[in-house]
Amino acid sequence: MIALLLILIASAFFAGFIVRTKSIVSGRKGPVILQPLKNVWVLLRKGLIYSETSGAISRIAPVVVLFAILIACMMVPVAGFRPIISFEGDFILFAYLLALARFMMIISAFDSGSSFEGMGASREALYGLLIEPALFILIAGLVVLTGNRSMMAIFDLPGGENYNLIYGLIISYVIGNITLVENSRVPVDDPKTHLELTMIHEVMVLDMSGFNLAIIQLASFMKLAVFGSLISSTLIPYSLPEGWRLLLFFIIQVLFAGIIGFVESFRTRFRMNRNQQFLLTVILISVIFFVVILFTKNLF
Amino acid sequence: MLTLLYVLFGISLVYIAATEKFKHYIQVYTIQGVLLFGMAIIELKNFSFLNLSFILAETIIFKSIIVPYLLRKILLRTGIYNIHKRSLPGNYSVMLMMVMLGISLVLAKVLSMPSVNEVYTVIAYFTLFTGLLLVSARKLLFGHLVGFLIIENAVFLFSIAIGSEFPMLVNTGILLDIFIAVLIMSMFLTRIGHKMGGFEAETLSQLKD
Repeated sequence: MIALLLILIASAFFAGFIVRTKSIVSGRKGPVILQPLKNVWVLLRKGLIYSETSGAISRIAPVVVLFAILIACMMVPVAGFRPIISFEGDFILFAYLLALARFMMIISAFDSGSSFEGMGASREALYGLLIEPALFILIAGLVVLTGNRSMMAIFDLPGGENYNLIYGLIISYVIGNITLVENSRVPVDDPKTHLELTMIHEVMVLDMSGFNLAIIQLASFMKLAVFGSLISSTLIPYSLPEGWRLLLFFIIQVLFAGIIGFVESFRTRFRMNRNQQFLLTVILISVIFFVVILFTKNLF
Repeated sequence: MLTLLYVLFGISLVYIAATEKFKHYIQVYTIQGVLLFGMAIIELKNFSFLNLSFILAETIIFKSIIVPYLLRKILLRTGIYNIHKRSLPGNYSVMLMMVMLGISLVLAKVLSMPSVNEVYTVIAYFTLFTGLLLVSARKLLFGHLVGFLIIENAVFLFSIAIGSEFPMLVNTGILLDIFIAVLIMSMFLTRIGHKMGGFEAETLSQLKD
């Protein structure tokens, strides 16, 4: 239960930290950390408007997305705190829950009948398709390295006998890049763009309003925190006292949000045709990690 | 520490295959020189002044200082900064790199010998294929030039893999070969390239006695 609570707390601050970092870096004071949550609160109290062409999918998709991500949150170990749901092979369900959330977003975008949303949906499908192998190869490497098959055990890297800080850093790098793609951040997408033609995720929610938009935003905050928690799990030894683990968890979350904000301040987004290359590069780095693990375990 | 060097070297190869800017080629080549120095020092069995100075000269001085300096000069003189727009797109380069990594693994396994370090063999094959990719998939001569230098890095890695079985003299000979090839290409790029009307590899075929 503590793990879920920590992810929810982190998700409440994560987006705010990114916005605040970007503001500070660009010389502005910026909004308060909780501003994104306040925006969600405002949206929650607004009414719903549906496009005339939309059907039942547009109505159920946001709720399915939120619950898929919430269940995924329940499966993530947080710095040694046991997740609510944990079993052998749970990482497959975890990946499929993220995929289900993406699938619902895509069909909801198609359901709206807008050509712009269809365009964004097709891009989201392509990028999702390309980034999933990176996650699976990475987890396969961890399974081989630790000999375990549940997320709680495979992310207990610092406690394992084959642990090397280098692994933690590579995993953090790959998960960091997966986070950027899954959450449609710079350099793959720009959440602040105002041009529909270049949007990916934002264009898919153009027709959403009020409560539906609020829960989609909440889901995206939680997704950021989920990946941040995975990174913290690979870097924090589970054997540390609880207080230290909590402290390190929040430090890593703040650092991760800060890095994303920092990157977004100084980096422009890629041209659309460069995104595939970036995603393939992330897959290849995962493959290199997997090969290194094979050699480490003398399996090659 | 060695794991870090292996991984960084692998990532540097991925990067050089994916990037489209020649200045990144030079940066990656410089970093590779430092990484090779680290690997060679860690693997060095006989710490003698001669060995250390040879490794230092070949990696840091040659690969990380002199060659990058010359390459930068070439770029400034020729004014070419990006790969040719008709070159193989980065997507395909990265996909080919994945295939090459697989082939490197298979080759290292099939051709394995007890005295040879398999990790270095895999990295060496992977580096060799990356060099070949640059030579075959890049249209501008500068890409070929860096490709040959990367192939030389592969030879250096083979020498580490084989260890004491690989005489330093052979390594030096290969290094000189590559250096001469690079010098000739640099000459073409800086002296004749403008007169020939381009810096593409195809223009070399127009050269006559």
